Amino acid sequence: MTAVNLAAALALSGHKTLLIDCDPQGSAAFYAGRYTSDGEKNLLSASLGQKPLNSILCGSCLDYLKVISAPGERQIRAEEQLLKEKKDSLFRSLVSELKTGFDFILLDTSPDTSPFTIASLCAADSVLIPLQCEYLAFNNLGQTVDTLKWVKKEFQPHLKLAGILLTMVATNSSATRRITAAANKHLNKALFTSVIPRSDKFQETPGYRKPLVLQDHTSPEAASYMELAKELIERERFFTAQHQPTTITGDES
Amino acid sequence: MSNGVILSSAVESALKEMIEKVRAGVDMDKVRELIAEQCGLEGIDSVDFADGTLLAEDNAPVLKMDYTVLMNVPLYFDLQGNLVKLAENEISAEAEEIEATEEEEADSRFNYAGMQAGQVTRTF
Repeated sequence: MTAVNLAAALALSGHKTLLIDCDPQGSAAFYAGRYTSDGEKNLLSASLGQKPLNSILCGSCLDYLKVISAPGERQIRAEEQLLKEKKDSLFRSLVSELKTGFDFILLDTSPDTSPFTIASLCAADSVLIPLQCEYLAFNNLGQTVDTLKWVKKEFQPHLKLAGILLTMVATNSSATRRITAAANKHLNKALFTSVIPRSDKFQETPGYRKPLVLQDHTSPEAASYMELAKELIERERFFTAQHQPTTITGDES
Repeated sequence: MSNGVILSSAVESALKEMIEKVRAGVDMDKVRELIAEQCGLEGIDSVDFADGTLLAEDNAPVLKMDYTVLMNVPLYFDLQGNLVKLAENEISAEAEEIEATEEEEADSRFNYAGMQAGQVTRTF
């Protein structure tokens, strides 16, 4: 949800953006309006040399937004040993190659520590963590960041934390109030000032196969993603003085 | 003798009339407030007038007005007949206290989770 709307917001801001679906469920590519239904065209098959790189890039609902589909569970299981052995390098060179054509590359991962997710994280330069305003998610945040630190230490020393994004923010909820207070106190600069409100629209828009920023572009929810895109662009400019293409991995907490 | 009886009935009747007049003029909301304040009773169900008597207080006549205060006060006993809890207002106070403690504990849990996340995030 976050990755798709953020990718669309970046594309709408005039940045060439690539969304790589790294969750075997394949929801992100579907939601972004990917044009092809060829499940073989994905990051894994291209990394294994089974498909040429340019063949896995798909169009979407936006000109500036391209999409790469996720491999299915069966394909991932078939390559599990390889993913375990080469998780630190399997996707990295391919993603590096893709950087030349895009301003932003977003890898949408699932919230687990499977070899496929770790391999995706190893290809990332920075990580954006969407944090739902719920106690259990907040309580697991430390563990999520700790896992990312392990990835950084063991496999990807250049990995940065792009920031933590509060999502499903309900102003009348005591959990939101408490998380906002604690996050502002302890997470400080790691926290994005943009927040994503809780809204039924996020449940509805995938049915249209259009990100909310397109489907209901005048809504406050869409505005929150446009703000996030703006903030992310500023942060990335701060990280890289020359504004090199950046990969963002959304690890849903 | 009969005069005395007549006189007594007349006084009694006049006294009843006077008590009734005073009763009618009493602000019952103030009476409830007074009872709550002086007796520490919250959650009174009703205050009903019972009886009035003429008395002398510091050499001056006063009317002693008796009221019946109705209040539902549950008492909790264990199966051996020992009193466990006293009254609803005490239970409410205790419940409020527990609720306040739970709120504080929740605040503390959220804060602790934030602190832990903050520690690992700072060293990322």
